[in-house]
Amino acid sequence: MVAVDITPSRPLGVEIGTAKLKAAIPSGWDAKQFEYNFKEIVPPRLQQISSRNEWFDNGDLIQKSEMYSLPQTALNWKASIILALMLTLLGIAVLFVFGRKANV
Amino acid sequence: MYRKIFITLGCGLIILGLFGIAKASLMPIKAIIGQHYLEVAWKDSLKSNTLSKPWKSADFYMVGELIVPKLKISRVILNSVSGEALAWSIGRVNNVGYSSSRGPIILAGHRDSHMQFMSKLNIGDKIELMMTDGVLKTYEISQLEVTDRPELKTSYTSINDESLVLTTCWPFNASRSSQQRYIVVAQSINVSIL
Repeated sequence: MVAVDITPSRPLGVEIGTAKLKAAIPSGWDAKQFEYNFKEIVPPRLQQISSRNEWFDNGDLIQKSEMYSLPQTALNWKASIILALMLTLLGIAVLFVFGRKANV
Repeated sequence: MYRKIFITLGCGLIILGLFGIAKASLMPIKAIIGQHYLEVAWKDSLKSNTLSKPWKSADFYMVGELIVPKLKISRVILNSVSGEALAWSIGRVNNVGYSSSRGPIILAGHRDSHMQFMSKLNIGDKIELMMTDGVLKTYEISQLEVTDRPELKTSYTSINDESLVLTTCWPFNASRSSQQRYIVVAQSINVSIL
């Protein structure tokens, strides 16, 4: 005997779809017995919880808000370099002026 | 008498200045070197098909790559827009991770390093994007906009769930930080599976 392992696979880029399948119930059973009115058969307290779940499922926690705040996107490294360069030059100037006086 | 004080002051200023120059010039150096390293790490993570960090100590993951064929530019996308992450590359603002999840893909980066190329983009230009699912999507720029506040409202712009949005600080050549943001909106035109 040979066992063949077939792993179901979904091609990249294809979304997962949902489809309703026909209920497979044992022969002789009445399909009608599975149909019930949610409001009649489920206790009110359970209904409340389940409706809360519905709210939770529907609310897309990440995407619901249509406002995105954008981060700070400026490094300003050029300005920093110029400022630091000016500090260095000032330091050199100070050394030049006061260092020379001593030689005279 | 005051000479010593002034010489000390002068030396202090020079040291401070040199330190400042070193610190500031580290930013673009980090951006350039980091991008090369990220590129290699991203290719590896695509091959191994796992969500991975570029290096062990990183607190962000690589979630995609942005390519601008016209400018021959590619940028690895990180899942964070923290200061640390944006120092290395561009980040995704609405962090969902996979391109198949709902909502537009909003990316942000520094105007004076990774996102500098945005100043050269025009309506009609093509942008390619690959997220962790390995699907190459092509987008075409449909809108350029400047906002007064660092916020993006998807209601008043033409952004839908299939859009790609690039953002950076505005104006480009300013030396101060501002509240304005430059926004480039692109719409999906083609999806190809490699």
